Amino acid sequence: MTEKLTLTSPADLLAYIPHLLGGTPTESIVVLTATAGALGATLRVDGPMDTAPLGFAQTVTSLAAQDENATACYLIVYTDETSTDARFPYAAHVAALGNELATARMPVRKVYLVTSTHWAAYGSTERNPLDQIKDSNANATLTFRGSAPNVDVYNPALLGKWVEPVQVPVRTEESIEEARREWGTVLETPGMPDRESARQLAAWFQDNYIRDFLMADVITTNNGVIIDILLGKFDGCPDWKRVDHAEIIAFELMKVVPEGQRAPMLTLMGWLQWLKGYGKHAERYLKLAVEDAPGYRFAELLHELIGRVYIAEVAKNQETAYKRPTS
Amino acid sequence: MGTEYILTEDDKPAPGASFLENVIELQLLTAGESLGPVDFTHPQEHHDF
Repeated sequence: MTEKLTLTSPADLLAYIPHLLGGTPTESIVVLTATAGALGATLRVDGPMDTAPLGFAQTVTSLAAQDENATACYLIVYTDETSTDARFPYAAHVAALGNELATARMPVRKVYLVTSTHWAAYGSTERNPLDQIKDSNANATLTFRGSAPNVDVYNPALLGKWVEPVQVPVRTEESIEEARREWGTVLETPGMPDRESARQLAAWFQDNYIRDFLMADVITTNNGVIIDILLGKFDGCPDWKRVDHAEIIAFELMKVVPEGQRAPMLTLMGWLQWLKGYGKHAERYLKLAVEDAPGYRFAELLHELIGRVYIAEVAKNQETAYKRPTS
Repeated sequence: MGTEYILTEDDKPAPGASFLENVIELQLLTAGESLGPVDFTHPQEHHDF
């Protein structure tokens, strides 16, 4: 059942965003779509940097238009970039975005600014403390319901420093079948694999060809077409609990291999985050993958694709999109 | 047992090849400009605002 959350103030609205995005944005622009009296989709893009205002605004508007029900929106600028005018960061981009969103029949109701020290109505001289967001009713309610905005599977402190490398297996028809069978069993079994199983799985992930199968096998609603699987176009809603489980297992596998062999699992984690609609988290994992194994091609390519404002198909549709678990 | 994926003769992999990597390379040919990663989520509660 869908629970009701009443947001009565700007602080409530600003508190709600980290719960949806899995963290407080930085150097970003967020568009919150809305209908009469209710909020819709949340879109976050990186701050525009050197991008021309009109092109930026058109791209962001086309992404926001994925919410076909939206009739209005809110803009939130997250930045510490106040070198020109502290009240109007990214002024040309915000203005262009306002025009484009209005043209797309999603006029902007309000614009807010959030820095690392305060928040304000965009263009005003006020400097409201961030504690107002933290102490808001919305934050308290969402936290009470079990939502944690900063839950992170990846914890580098848990990764071993002195671990023997795994031997990359010889790829045969039989080994592919065995790898997929073992991976399927682990995905369907609560808890974590034992160390020996984890090292065997981590070894299979080192082979690019087998890795591709193992990644695709996380999604049981796939249609067997590789391009669809990669881009998140599935037959129905994925088993998101299985996806969450796969992400945790991927981190477990990272614990049993040394640096230089963790990239396949980091890439899997990045892809899964992207499927969930979290492009920023995906980018982080993919960067870590390339740091772990410089030149790791899959992570580099996926990073480039995601950086071109690609949204996974499954994340666009509210019926199939990820639902974050609550405790 | 996992899904039987559809691979044509042309999809037969070379040693070390990755079909997912090849798919991304093709996708990049028609991808838009680089503005960085995007987050896109939907409400999980009904909101009054």
